[in-house]
Amino acid sequence: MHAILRFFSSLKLVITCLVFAMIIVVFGTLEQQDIGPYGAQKKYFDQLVINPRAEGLLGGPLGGKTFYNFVQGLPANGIYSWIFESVPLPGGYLVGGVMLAGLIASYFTRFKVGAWRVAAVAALCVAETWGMLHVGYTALPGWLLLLAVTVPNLALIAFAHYRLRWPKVGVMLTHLGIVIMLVGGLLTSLFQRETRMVITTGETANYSASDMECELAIASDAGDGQEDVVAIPQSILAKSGSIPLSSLPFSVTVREFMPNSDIARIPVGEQPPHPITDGYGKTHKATPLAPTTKMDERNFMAAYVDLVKDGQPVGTYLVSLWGELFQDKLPAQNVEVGGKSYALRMRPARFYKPFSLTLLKFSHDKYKGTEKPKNFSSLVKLKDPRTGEESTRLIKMNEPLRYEGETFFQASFLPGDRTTVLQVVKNPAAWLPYVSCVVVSLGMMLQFLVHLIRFTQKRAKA
Amino acid sequence: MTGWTRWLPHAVLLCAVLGFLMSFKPPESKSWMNVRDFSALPVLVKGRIQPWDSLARNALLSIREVSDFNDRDLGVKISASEWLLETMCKPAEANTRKIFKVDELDLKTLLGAENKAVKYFSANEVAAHLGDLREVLKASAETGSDGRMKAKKTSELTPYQKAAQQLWRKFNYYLVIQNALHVADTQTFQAQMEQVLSGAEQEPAKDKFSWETELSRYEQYLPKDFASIHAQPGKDELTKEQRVYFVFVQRYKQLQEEAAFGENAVGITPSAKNPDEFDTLFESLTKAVFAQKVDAGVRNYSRMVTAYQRGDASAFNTALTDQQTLLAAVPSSLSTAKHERIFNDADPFNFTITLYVCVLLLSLFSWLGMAHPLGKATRWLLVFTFALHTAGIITRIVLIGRPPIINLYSAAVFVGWGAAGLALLLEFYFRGCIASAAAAMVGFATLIIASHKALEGDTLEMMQAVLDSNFWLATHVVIINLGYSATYLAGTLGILYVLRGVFTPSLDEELGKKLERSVYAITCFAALFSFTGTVLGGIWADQSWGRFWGWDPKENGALLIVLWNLIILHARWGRYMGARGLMAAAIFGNIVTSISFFGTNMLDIGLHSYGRSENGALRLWQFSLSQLVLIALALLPLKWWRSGKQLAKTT
Repeated sequence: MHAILRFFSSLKLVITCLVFAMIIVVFGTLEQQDIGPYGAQKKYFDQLVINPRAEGLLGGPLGGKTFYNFVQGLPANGIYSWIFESVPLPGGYLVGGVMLAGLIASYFTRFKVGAWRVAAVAALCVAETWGMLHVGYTALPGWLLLLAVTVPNLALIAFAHYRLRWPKVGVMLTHLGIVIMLVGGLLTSLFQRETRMVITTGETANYSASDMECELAIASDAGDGQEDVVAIPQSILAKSGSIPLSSLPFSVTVREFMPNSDIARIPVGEQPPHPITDGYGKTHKATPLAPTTKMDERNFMAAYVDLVKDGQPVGTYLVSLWGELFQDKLPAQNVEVGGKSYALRMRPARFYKPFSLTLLKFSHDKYKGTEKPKNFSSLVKLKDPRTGEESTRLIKMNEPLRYEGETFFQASFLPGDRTTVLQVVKNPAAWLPYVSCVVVSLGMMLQFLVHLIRFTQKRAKA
Repeated sequence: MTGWTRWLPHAVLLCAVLGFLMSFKPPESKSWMNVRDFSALPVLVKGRIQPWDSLARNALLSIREVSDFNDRDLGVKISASEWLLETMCKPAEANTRKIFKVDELDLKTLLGAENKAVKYFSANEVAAHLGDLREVLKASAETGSDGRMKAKKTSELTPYQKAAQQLWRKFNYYLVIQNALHVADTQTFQAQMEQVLSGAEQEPAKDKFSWETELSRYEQYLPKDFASIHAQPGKDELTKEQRVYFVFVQRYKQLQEEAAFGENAVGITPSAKNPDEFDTLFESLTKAVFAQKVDAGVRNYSRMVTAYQRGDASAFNTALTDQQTLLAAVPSSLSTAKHERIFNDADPFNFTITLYVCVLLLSLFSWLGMAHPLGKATRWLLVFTFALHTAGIITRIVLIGRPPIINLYSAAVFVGWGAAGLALLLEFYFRGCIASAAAAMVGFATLIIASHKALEGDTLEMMQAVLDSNFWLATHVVIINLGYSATYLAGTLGILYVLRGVFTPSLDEELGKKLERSVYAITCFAALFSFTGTVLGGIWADQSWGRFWGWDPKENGALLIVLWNLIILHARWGRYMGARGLMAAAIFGNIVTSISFFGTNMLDIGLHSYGRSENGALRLWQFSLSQLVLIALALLPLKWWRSGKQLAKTT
């Protein structure tokens, strides 16, 4: 036990982790030229091991193609090329995880907290977690809750131990802050959800849609101008196979799912790749493309699906996100099942809100005589039927609207300056970096100040 | 200190103050025209109220790459404002001035230069080869996948094409400026007008038209009923007066076309509706039809133009006074422009560069002998230099009403300032001028970098909407740049340690300890500032986009600095590195910081890709290489160090 603690809390391990962190940050930044920040994040940072030999998006030479081509032009390029092509690196999760373990371990070794206290803290953490789960806390899964309650416990025990010996307290605070930051980063990468809400002036929206994921919506008329919608998320579509739908008289079987696709008219004399019953799949065919992670591109998912009623096929259809872009050529497809009509449509995954936003006015100001934007803002009316709230809010750059745990940022607009695009972010861990910043800064200042004061005192005596 | 050496520090300080005051002296004007006051009149360029003087300096900086006009071949030296006035009023003369700087050899050939040593070309020379230039530009565009012509990425262009593009931009900029105050070629126009009028009552065309007269004529022919004249179907039904009006309209349209080159349009007179917005000449002339008269400011300028063309100083000065009285109604713009003009004259950062060189030299001398008086003189001079540097930064803050850092230029200025400030603190604790020397090196280098950045355009430019937040500019940006300052200072101290240790026997045990402590202390600062600054940046991002950390290249660069400083500190605490290791690590910090500061902006991605430059990448490589050489020196065995024996006692 002691040996393990010693290993994790050794300064050499910390330095190794920091060096690896620098290396993956450098490569991760370089590769952004080719795969964009999101792709780099997936490949380098949200990853246990970065393996250049892996297939697909997560593989490829370290630092990306542009950098690799640059390296090819250097003398003795064979060696570098070999390194960048085949040497695996620890990913962000691994480096961060080891550092986190090291930080926690160092509480018990470097700051010389004895073994019995380790046990005490561990027991305390487990007890607290159990207690919280017992009273019905569900926002975090148990293992994360355990991690989360560890932080304040460590702080508590450290303070108790040092009884306010300032430089030590400074060091402890600093490291505690880093623990908070790492935990916050982990939580964010697990739970953050970014979607977009697009509203045209005068219109109202009560959902935001994902840029990354799609869903298959099956809508039927429910009378009174209302619709019943069953939406199948992308994660389920991607698994292929049969998807039972309890509220519908039929089930959906995915023949082929494409995470990114191209769509084209079928040339005369050629047959669709699947026996299509009806709809635009008869005239158009989707072909799979490699998914993209670039910032200015998006994936157009497509799928060939069978509708099955009581084990009997009703029909085979092509559904595709391209339909969102070309609504006139690729309209929603209507299917008659059991005398009722259902509209099949693949669309960006939607997240409905219990409230709505109406865009009153979108403003796009420029500096006079230039195209340089001075300000973007959206004046919206917020309506929440649950609380009866009805208010007018202004969303502009650097001043988002925060409501119900979600934040609405002015992100973009569509040409014509009538339609605003709001980024909607939900991140339950958003406040942790703030805490971390304060704690670490305090800790560092305390530590350095105490050193500085001591140094001046020594000088004064000398 | 005895004898004359006692007065050394005083003498040095006096020289510096006198030197600054001398450099403050405004440029002399050769004529009686009050060009100086003219150049303090406000105009609106790129959304910012500024004096003509700033427009003139920035234009010359971007076209000729210096802020005044100095033709050594002809022995002509005139100030930026005088050049501007000539360009705007006397196009024929101005077009012969060699102001377009061209370095690319093939482009020189294209412009017809036989001698490859020729660096500058006149507007006439460029205009004569516009057709050829256009051909080159066509070759630099490609047909995109959608069938439309699309400019190639800068990285795909040959140096020749890049230079041609640059010259094209410069020339268009020049044209916009030339048409800012008046439309040239009044006489041809006069003929046109008379042709329309001939047959009707004869115009008394004895004098040649001046711009001033032309505008009074324009006012005279402004149609009384604007709506009816445009509603009339055929030209035949127009009266002669109305037809003359259309001749004017046709003529002023060319202004609009030139202004269409966009970003550089010059607003010269406050708009009637909103005095904070300035109308360009074209806008104002177009609006004249609604007001039934030409704007008073434009009229005043037309008198100045005419007076300048005729060399009539008193008429020029009267019109100038009238314009000043008129603008007094928009008080803030007049005084803002005036203050900026004074700041331009003072040019504090330029003089600060010289002072930093003096500080460095004084420190070097103080190591050779007379350590006490020279040391004191160095410190005093550094304090004065720092004060001047500070004053320059504060003036900029006041002028733009924003925190000190708004672009790479001001960042470079600020980083040098921060390093100088920290070095002053160090100097206070550990005498010996070593921190002063380091401060001088960082200050000098950053200000030189800043002066290169100034070539890219107005350094007091307006902010992009995304960055428009004084609170975060004042916290995140300032703190992170202090982190850069500290890292550079530590690295420079490391360089001095290595250089003195390897090449001189002057690095003794005491000095070595001092430097070690200094570097350690500054690295602690650097860690604190870069960490806090980085996290604050994340918080800003969270506030603006809801994303604390987006792995943006600049964010990653800042993170690299934090990580490197943490590595140094932990390695130090673990005693994994001694004095020389610490110095080598600190020098490596220079590379990390430069990559973060400049390198990340060179990648064409992310929100921070605002400051890319052509030779930047090459310079960065060269710099990194030089630092690696220094690191190699630092790691040489002690027996090869000239100060090795003294240091070996302790380590």
